[in-house]
Amino acid sequence: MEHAKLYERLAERLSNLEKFPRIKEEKSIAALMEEHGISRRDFMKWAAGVTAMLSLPSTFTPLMAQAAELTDRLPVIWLHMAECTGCSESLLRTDAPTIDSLIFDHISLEYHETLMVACGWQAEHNLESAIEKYKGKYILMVEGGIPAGSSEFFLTVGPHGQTGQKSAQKAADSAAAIFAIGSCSSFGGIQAAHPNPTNAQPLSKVTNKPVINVPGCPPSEKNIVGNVLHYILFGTLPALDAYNRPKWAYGLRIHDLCERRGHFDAGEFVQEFGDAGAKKGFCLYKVGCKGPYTFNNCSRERFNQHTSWPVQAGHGCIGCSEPGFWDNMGPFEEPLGDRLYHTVYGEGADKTADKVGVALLTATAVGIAAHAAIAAVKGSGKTEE
Amino acid sequence: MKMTKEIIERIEGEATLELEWENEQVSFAKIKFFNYRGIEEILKKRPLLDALALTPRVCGICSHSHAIASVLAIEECYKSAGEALHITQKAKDIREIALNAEKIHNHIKWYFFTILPELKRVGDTTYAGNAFKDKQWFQAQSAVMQSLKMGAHFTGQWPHGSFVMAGGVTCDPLKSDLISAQGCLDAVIAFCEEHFYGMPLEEFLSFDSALQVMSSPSALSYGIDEMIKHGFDRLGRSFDRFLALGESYRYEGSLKASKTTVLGADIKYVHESLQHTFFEDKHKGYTYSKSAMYKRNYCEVGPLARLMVSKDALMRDFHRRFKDAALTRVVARAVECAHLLWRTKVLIDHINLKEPSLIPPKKDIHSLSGSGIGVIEAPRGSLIHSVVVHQGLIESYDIITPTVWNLGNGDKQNPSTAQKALIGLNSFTKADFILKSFDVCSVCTTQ
Repeated sequence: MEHAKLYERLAERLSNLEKFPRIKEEKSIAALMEEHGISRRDFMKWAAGVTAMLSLPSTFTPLMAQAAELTDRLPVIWLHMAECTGCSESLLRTDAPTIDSLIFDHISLEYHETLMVACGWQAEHNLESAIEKYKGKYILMVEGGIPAGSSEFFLTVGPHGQTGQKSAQKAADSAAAIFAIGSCSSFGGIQAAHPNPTNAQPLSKVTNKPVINVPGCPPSEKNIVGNVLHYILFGTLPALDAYNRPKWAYGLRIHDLCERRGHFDAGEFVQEFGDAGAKKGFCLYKVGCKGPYTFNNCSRERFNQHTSWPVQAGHGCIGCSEPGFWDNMGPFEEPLGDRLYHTVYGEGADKTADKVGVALLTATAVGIAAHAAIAAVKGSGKTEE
Repeated sequence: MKMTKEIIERIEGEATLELEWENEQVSFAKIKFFNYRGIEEILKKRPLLDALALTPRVCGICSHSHAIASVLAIEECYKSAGEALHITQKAKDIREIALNAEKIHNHIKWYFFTILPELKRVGDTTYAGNAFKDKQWFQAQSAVMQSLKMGAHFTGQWPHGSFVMAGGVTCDPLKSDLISAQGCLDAVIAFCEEHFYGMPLEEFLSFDSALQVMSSPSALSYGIDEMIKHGFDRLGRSFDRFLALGESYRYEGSLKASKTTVLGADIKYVHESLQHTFFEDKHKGYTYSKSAMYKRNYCEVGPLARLMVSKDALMRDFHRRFKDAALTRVVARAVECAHLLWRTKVLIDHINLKEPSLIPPKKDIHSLSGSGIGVIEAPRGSLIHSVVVHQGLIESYDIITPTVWNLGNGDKQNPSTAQKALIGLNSFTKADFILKSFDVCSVCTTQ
């Protein structure tokens, strides 16, 4: 679609959205920012950043700002399943640049267990009434894997002892859009790792509705907020890859934009942690970096307000936004093509590839093959704006 | 006999508090956790170093603590196999900075986002307001972010940073990283001086009397006033028995305290019990949380325990006035936070970047067999990881989290620390607050 036409369409959607009443009669985001000492200029800079992150032309910045101001037209329900609360922590109270967290605060968060004051019967009532009141309109965000089937009793919530599975299904049934936040909810996560003691399943396995996966352990807060804004702008699902991850965030491999990529290309590797190569910031592939197999934008967006990310701290990527990474990507401190001993997952894939060149070729070939396969699936069917 | 059951929210995960009542007073309490993930089971048969990536996922709040406890256990494995690893002072300092960042953020977050709104709710049961709309929330939020950002300069990310490795740490910070980290820390200190303590940090740290803290207007003295108003200076008392097994710069070795008497402690007396869990009895059990005891006694762990064993003058004064009431427990976190801010500032100032970050072990990890225990003082108290490794693969992995110490379930003859604190109360709202004064984290407790 041409830019001008797309711009027009989005502008129209936003002006329609603007006609909806605010969910709560509270201060507008503009007033809120002013109160917290964030200038309009900072806000516009932030909007320009998000526009670029979503791969939209910079002329769309005013639309992005408008979309952020309309976040209070959108009810959100956030459910916790079997997890560590790390995703909420990542987003709500910590990682997020102040504007992101403010916007998330501004979104009408109808239900969030860690944050709300209500408890017990009152809390369950809030959830039920939010589902009823905003039927078909709310965004559902789910954090955590879901013990399913005969193991569903491993997670029960609320005074009625409802299982996590039922509560997620119920909330999903009447949601307008569903986001699985974090690797647990997207792909089952740590509790689904072998032997999966609680039969934990991803959200997409317990509901028939389409689920947008925002994996990562934790996912970057920018990816979460970016999805909300994308939904406000377009009103449709974003372009997704084979694993239902939004392409704007998970379209490239960690490896593609890694700051240590030059060393990989030059064949300069850390051979073991603490060696001279480590001090020089060489490539971490040989000490187990899974960046070449992992699709995410960490190398570009980083964490904790763009401060750092694991590769910068001298430890390889563990592949946390890929399905089943706990079982497929381990051992985390050794390269995949170089496994030399038995693990629970069987014999290493390539026992002889302990020479640099061969290992490199293997990695590149595997990476390219994976990329090609995923690219092929990507082109086949998912709607794109 | 009357029985009530309520869900506890606003904690990490979810818990159920079941109270038994006699004559309008709580006669017994059951603390139930209904989520279970089986992380100890998942760790079995995995390569040893994978524990460094897996265990932080136990908890989204204390992920650095788990990583550090895990690496200590792994280093002990090397020691038991005959190779004692030398960890440079620089690596030790970086680990401590990371741990402090986590503790500081946790204490500020817990005080401003749990304790203050909960106190409002105790005063006005209809209060359903969103504390997050408050201006102070935004400022506390910024301080929390700055604290974690400070840590991320060394750890790569928070939560779930991967920065520790057997033999040291993987990161190699530059001088510019230190300057930037110091800037973040200064912002946290500025927030605490202006809002939390209402005075310069140095002045606050020089206090040795509760009255000095209470007499200057601040978020802390406001909280203390409110707690006294609602009787929390007398309520929530437990056994007055404390335990701090992990290291600290403020005391030597592992210590325990009974009231104000401090004695040495040894991890070999720690005993983990499956009493009342679904693991022990599928039908009679009522929780997924284990409980931990020291010589068959329940002990309190956490900031109050750490300050009591280090004979902190200010905390001793609070303890003299209020014993181990909920108020003392809450104040302990604020006091510890001040010490940690100061300590971290000193650490960043004095870190020697010329030292190596990591000295690689000589022994091949694939042939490593042995066992090791890693103990650390996490934000909520003593955290223990113990591992048995055979030929580089994990045979068994056991985690005892701080909340298991505080929030386990005993029985009527021998109640656990939190149960003891709840017995005798006359309202659920107060019970809810007292339970939260232990800083509940259900995801850690059950794993």
